[in-house]
Amino acid sequence: MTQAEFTATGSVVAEVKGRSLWSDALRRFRRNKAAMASLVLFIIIALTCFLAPHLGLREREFIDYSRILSPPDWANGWYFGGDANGRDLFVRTLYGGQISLTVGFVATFVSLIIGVSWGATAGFLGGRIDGLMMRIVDILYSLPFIFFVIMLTLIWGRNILLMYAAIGAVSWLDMARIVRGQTLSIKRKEFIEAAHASGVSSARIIFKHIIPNCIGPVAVYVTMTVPSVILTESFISYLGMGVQEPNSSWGTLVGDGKDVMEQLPYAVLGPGGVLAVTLLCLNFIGDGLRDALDPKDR
Amino acid sequence: MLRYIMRRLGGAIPTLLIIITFSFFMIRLAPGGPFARERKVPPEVEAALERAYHMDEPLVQQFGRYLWGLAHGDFGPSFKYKDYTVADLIAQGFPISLQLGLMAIVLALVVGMSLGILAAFRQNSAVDYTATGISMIGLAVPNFVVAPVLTLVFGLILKWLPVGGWGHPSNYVLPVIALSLAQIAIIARLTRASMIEVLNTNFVRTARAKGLPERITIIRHTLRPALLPVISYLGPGIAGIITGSVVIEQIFGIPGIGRYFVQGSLNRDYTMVMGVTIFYGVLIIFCNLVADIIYGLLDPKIRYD
Repeated sequence: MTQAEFTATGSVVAEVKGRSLWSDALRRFRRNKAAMASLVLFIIIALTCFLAPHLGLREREFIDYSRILSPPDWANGWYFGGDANGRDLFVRTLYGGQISLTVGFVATFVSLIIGVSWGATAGFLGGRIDGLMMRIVDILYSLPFIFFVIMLTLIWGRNILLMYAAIGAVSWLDMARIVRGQTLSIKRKEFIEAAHASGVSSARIIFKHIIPNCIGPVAVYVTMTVPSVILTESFISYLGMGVQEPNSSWGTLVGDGKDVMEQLPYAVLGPGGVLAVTLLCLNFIGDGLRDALDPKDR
Repeated sequence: MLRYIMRRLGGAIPTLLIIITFSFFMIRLAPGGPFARERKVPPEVEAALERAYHMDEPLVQQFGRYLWGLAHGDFGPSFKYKDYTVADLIAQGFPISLQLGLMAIVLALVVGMSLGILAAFRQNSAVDYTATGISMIGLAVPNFVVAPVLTLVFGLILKWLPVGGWGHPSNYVLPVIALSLAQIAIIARLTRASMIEVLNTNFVRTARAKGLPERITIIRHTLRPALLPVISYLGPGIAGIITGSVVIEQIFGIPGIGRYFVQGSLNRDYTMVMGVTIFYGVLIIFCNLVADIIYGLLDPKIRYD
């Protein structure tokens, strides 16, 4: 339904707005109950984690020796109980969430930048350069990545910024492939030809015309990358090679909790459960976004 | 076919070289050598150690030495397990890791495909929802959470199964389930989607229209095309199992190479970490190649020339 049709049938012209791909997608997304519920839950989890210092909870390093390995006590605000050092496990889970979520988004952003530029350039230039660039992606694809990330963190110390960069730098491959595919189909469209004809430079065509037109599939893929990055980070932290004391991420908390699991199952179930719920929400949001942006896929 | 295999093997060589070069130089650039201890060692001892491990040579020469050794199946000595070479440790641990991995991949294929197929045939039924539920859980709950929870429930509370060790069949149950859960989830999702797609194709409609019994339609006409995506997932799936086994071996105290890798990383056992990474790299490349060949054999649309 276009604007022209509306005006032709004589409906109220002033109130008519064109329906873009995005408003259509938004409408479809809103109708998807699982995705909407996940989105709300995810926002609540994220807000609670990042606002933890302002919620009147205990300090992260507050220690109460009488609470060592104590079970949850809701009446006194020990929602997950105390850990092996008598710290509030719930508060530690929230602070851990800050790190896990930040890693998830920062590393995804890194992978987005590299993947989109790489894929768009390869697809746009085509020919031998494309072949070479995608061959590099193929080679990188078959590397055992987690091992390289562990090696990187092992070598450069457990610097959290480096971890963001390392995970981001190894998760851009799918993004590059998707963007390249999109670029190949977009670059044959008339508006690109028009841009060429009016003398726009290649770099400008890539960044002004091609990349903005890839946003749909890229957005879907971004929401799929965030949970996988969070998972990678917690995996590494779980093994004791990622985030270190006094900082903690969900992975380190589960790792610590595993050692005292026999006395205090909540030490694993608390942070592990929050991690699982977050990943579940992100997966549902990703699915919902894909259905909303790509209706022919239903 | 043979030419295709040869070409793929040729293509694997640069990948391998990249893995080796990258790990070698990354490890050698690391601050804090393998002999860094809390107590200061006399400089002459340190020099002797460095000489014994050829660490005093120029980097390029060390790299050449390492490559030459690799070509002869020699990964160098382990820096921490003094009397062993890395090759010894890999040879010791690999059969165990392989056993664990094979059981996990077989379980994942059998359960994942059955769930996917059942869910596709009974869309929106209880079976379908169960299968979808299992795959959502498998996707969202990481194996390092599943494994402790399984140990807690079946090992510590119910006391049905041992929580660690290796050798007796009762040791296999928990690690194999924990390792395969994520893969079951992915394979079930893949199978369900492709099965539904194939069931709507014209050739299945034709088979049904000409009156073939449903059983024959499924076995002869549906399964083969529907399972192709699962075959092409085998490569990444095996890579996922290998990565997961690092954590699983650690949790259940299984003496495979994954555990050596973790120990090596925590101890800065350079040659160990490098050796295992290269070994896994070769293994993953090999598995991808095998998966591609099987795919080619099953998909008549693919021609190799």
